[in-house]
Amino acid sequence: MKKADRIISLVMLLFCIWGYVHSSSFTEDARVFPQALMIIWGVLSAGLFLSTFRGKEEREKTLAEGEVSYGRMFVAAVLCVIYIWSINLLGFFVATPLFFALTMVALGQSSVKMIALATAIVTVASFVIFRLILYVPFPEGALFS
Amino acid sequence: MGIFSHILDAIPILFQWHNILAMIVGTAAGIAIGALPGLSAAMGVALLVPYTFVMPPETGLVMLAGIYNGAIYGGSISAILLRVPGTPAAIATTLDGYPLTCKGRADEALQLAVSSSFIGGVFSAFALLLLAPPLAEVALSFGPPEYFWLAVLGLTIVASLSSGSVMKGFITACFGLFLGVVGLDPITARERFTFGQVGLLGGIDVVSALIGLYSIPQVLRLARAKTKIGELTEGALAKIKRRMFEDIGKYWKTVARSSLLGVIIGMIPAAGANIASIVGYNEAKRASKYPERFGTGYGEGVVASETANNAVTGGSLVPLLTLGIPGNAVAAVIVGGLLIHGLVVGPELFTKSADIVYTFMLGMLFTNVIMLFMGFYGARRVFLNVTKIPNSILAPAIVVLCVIGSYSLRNNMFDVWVMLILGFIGYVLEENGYPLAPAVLAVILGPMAEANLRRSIMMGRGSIVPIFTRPICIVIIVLCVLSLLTPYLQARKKKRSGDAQAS
Repeated sequence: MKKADRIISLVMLLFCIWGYVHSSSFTEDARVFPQALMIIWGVLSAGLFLSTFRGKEEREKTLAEGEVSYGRMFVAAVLCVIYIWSINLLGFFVATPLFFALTMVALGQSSVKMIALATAIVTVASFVIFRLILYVPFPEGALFS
Repeated sequence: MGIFSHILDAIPILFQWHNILAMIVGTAAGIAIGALPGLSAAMGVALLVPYTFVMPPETGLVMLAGIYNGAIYGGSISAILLRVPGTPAAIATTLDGYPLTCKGRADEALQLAVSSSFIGGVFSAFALLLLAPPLAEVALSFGPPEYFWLAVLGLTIVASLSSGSVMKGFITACFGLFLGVVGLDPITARERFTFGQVGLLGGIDVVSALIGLYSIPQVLRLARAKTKIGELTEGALAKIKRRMFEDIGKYWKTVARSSLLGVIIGMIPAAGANIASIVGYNEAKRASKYPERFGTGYGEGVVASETANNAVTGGSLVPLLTLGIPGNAVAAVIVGGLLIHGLVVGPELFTKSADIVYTFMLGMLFTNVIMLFMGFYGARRVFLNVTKIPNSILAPAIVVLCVIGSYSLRNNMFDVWVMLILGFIGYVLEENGYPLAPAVLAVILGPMAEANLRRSIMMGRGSIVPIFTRPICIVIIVLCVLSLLTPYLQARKKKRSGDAQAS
């Protein structure tokens, strides 16, 4: 935890320095609050950074082998990014079933019937509830417009 | 005619079959809207206002009352079961609600949430019915200095929301305050931290930030876990037959305190359910004999937050119906609902259209009863099943809902990207012991604090003295000091009693 705190606090400290300098370009009225914030945030981050050099390393709570799969989590995160990027290209109602089915496979679902059923339910339900009833204007996608 | 004769006249109108049906449909729709991340009570009411145009005025208005009450309660369902608050008003509910689910006591948490939401809602509906005009005058005495201190009071609660390291809590609060600074300056409209992005000119939307910070880390945790939420618990989900108000009696002081706080905060324009639930939670923790239990799956935490946020519903309508000033976004949308039926809000509403107004206010009361039954019986038969859904379905389903919720705010894909990026940052922070509730609280309160501080200084012609001398300000400043000192005083007291026991 201390190593992570050291990295996070250092990143925040550097961000605060950049933020303070950047906000100097704002008008006098507009920069007071951000600059005060950057000073407080910077002081807190510096305090946390220094505190990581004091005391013993806490024993981290680790999850047992087999309880978690960081590989799956990483794949899910990448699929989220691709999904959001593809909405503008393919449109919401094409990108969503693709994302849903691929994520289910990535997360270990092997039953094709289950994948097809869940994907169809989510896609149809979001179309009926959000498009037909609530009139949310989803992107139709560059390919289809 | 007095208040009571108006109420007696409104009762037969309220219980006409089409009004009862409208209340049932409205409450059910409200619960569903509230439970979906990103769809807020204001959005639910706004989406359904046009449908009320074709209905008689009282029918349309009681339907809106059902949506409002249902949506504020509905936010707690996903907060408790998935750790994804359906509405910003349910942030504080996640702190104890989800840990209760992890202990296999989800049905207890849901039962406490609906019972306390009912009590808070009924209390505020009575306040609306009986005390509206005198209470509205109190709310109007709030000016920018009082709003500034109210926001500061909210920010002092960071210490209470920071389970573990208080310093990390304040650091994430600073992160939230920074998110609130992005966009146009509230007074001079100059760009700040927009990096030339048009999407950032309007600032980072609170709901986008909320969805990202809470939902995406939960999706990633579900993705990495090899077991369902129900199997992650410390035992199978408890199958105890519960009575409707079981356990709530032992928290009666918290219920009373949160109800009162909710009504008062609801009446203050622009404060609302988000602040009320957090203040209610903080005050319950401050007054509790066991503050260390809060945040670990303690029923009183759920009760404090849920009572306060539903107590806002009636309170927010007090200044609207009596003076024509909407207390929050939902109240502002309800003005639209009144206007399309030719009803102009303000003092004359009670004389010219008393039958409709009193039917609406009674509808605010009765929809709480409908909500209680739907929540209580729905908890066991419908909502609890969410924890049995495999993670491979639940995780992508939450992502789809997050995308819909953040996109529908402003019909803008930029908000969806903001949601996702904040989600990844939130995951890294939370995995390293940085609490996220202070960040969301700061996104809500930061712009309110800055804008009102600067308005106060302008009012004082450059002097900051007025913000310290106004009577209500002094009261709030005292509360701020108490809020900051209480965690330390409680820790000291606990240490002393521990030392005494050891010796």
